Amino acid sequence: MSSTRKGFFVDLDRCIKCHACEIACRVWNGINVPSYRTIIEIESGTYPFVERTNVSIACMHCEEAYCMAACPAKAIYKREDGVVLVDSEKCLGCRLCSWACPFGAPKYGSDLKMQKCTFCNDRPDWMPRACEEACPTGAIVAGTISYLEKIIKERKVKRIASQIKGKRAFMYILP
Amino acid sequence: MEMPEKLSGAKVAKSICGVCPFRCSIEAYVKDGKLIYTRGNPENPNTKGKRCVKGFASIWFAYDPDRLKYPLMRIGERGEGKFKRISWDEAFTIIAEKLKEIKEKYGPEAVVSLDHVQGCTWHYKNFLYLLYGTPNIYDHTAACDGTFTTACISIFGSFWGIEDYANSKYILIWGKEPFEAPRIVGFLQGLMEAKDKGAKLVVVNPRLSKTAEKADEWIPIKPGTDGAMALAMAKTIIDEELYDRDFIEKYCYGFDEFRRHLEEKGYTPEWAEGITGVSASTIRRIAREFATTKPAVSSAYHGFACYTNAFDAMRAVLLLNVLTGNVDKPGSFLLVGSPGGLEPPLKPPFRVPEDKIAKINKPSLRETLGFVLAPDFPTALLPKVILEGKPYPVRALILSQVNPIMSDANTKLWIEAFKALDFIVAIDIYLSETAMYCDIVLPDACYFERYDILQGFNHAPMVLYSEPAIPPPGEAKPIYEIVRGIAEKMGYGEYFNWKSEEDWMRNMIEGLPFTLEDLKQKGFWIGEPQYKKYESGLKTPTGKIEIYSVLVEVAGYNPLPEYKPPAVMPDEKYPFRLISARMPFQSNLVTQNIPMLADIEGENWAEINSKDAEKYGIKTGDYIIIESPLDSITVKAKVTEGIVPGVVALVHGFGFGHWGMGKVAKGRGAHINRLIDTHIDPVSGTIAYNECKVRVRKA
Repeated sequence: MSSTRKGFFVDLDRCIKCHACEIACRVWNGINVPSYRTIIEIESGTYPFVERTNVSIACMHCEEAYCMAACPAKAIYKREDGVVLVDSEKCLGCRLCSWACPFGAPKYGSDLKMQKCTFCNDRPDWMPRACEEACPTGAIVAGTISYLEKIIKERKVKRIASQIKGKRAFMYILP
Repeated sequence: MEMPEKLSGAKVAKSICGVCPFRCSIEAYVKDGKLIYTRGNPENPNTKGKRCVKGFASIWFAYDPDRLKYPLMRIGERGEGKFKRISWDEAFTIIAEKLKEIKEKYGPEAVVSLDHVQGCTWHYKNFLYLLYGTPNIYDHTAACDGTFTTACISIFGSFWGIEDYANSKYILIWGKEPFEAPRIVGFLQGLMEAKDKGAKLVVVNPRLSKTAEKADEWIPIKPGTDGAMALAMAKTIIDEELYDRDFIEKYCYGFDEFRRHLEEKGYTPEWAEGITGVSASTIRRIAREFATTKPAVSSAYHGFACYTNAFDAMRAVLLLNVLTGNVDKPGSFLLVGSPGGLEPPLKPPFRVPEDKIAKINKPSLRETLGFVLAPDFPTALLPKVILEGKPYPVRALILSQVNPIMSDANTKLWIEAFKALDFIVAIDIYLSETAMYCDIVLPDACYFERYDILQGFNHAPMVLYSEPAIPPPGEAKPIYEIVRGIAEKMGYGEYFNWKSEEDWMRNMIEGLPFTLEDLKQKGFWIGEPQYKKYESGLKTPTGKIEIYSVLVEVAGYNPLPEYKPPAVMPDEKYPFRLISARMPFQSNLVTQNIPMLADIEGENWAEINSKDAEKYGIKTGDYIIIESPLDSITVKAKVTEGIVPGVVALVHGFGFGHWGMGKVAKGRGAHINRLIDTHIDPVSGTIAYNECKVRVRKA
């Protein structure tokens, strides 16, 4: 199950916080919907020894999705391939999911109902997700967990943001 | 392959991105008459299916309700923004009459044209130059690549340069931002590819920029002193005999003079340490690493060049490539034909027989004011020329896709100059701040709405093709139709009697090894790359790569680069230097009316070192007042460890603070150019935006 589950990882050595993922996502999913991606920047150290890490975050399509557990209306469900989706007919707009999600993924549109990354569920498998397609540095990779693990190995990636393993933490320093 | 429903049955138009002047080949998908999706041209090596964030967001141009839709005539005072709608026929008639009148009264040179090299510009450049007869046709060089281009000309003759990051093993970047201000998305990808392959990336920058963040080494340097570090590196490379002797003997001119010059001036790493704040041991180490790792590239562009001493600093940075033989080989500093489509292989869209070409009445302002080496007239000097009428009267401006009131230093002076003119025409997609001061404003087509053929920015020759994906809004017209309209009213209709756009496009590619049909199918053409072009001689006076520049000597300047301090230095009253930085998601003055981008950052901010901030009690998110001897602005502060103390960096300072353009752009953030006095680099004419001292306090 877990190897065919789909998900993202973000290569922290590559993300430059250019926001191309966010904009491509909005262009694809509708200019008037809220932005499904948030890009943050973390600074550490003191001048002149300074480091900055950039992370682009959206729904990580968690194996154990806290939002699902928190939803009183059972509006959030997991597709067989692991993609977490929301049924807006059932959504009450109570926002409990946003409290539960460690990634701040749930967003609310003008109808006050929850919406979030759908893993571009209207794109066929051969096509990259909009964010992945747009990322100029290859920082965002989407696919099955076994595919992601393969890329991580190939690239010798050191730090990622993902829900590939573990339940709560989202930034990993790989061995 | 099965297409998603959204795209199935969509028509795909090949296009050239017009958000910045760097020309990425793209594809635009149109369904039911609506532009719904864009991507980089997957076959083009500079895009490989990708676009930058600004490119993606620019799909909004197709929807923006604030776009200009009709020709406008000013009815209020200049700058008041009161216009009435007129017909194209009225607009063409007024422009033709005014241009004739000014030519009779003052001569054709009294009309100056400014543009931004984003396409279709040949039509009106040729019209104004060949038929109307003004030599004063300038683009945005002085606000951009002027220093780089002039330095390239002085060293390599006619050539320009592009860095082959992807194949390089040691990349030294001086105040240039492939990650923060991406030009062609392929250059950015090339840099990432080099890092993947284990290349070392060293960034010299007063700020920990997005490129510096990803560097193996960030070298914080006092702004405006890069030339000193580069010269000390050159001295180290020569003293320790790490230079490419064979390459220098065969292909370069003036090495011995340079060696003596560095010796006489005492440009040692210890000397540079006192100026730059970078330790002598670091300078020596970087010099050794750079000279002994092959291939390597030393790369700078505009950010680094915002000082009055920039021309010599740029030469010093580029000469590091020359000393180590890193020129026009894979992984090094590549030589390319001059940019802007001004040189072959492309030809003009229409021809004027020799005997019909207008005689130039007086030489251009550039020549008259002695900027013999500058590729363009220093537009920063234009307000003074207009206000004083010297060396001769300038009475009208034709502006296309430019906004000098916002983009040039010294906003107040520009406004004063605009008020003094007889006639101003703006061609734009928005009612920009500059357009508000114009008499006639013509609605332009954006890049999704026009045909075009342009030369690509690439080492191998590249020609790009654009066709309209959608029609322009309202009555907006592409430039070639606007020029035809004006030309017909002035009696030059015979040169513009093309039946379809294909006619003038075929003129442009005449004699080239591909057809218009090839271009239409693929969106571009690419030729074979040619390396080591210096082997067959360069267009410098000596035919060699000139370390000692004969051209610069003839122009009356030092043929060898020397270090001079910046013209403006912080002092007790104004203790900080103000510099500009970029946001990766805004392009100059082009993209601020895009709501998606405004959602990312609603306003710009000023970065200040934590030590300085502490002294003034400034915290991230506080509003601060930045005051220069000229004016003051209020802007949000961001306290960071990633900036040299004593420096304030206004992020995207020239694209925020709009009071025109559109509803989204208006009233966000602060504009930097009102703080900056007029300073230029004397050789290249480039605007020295960072020659500005300021003080700060909490608002």
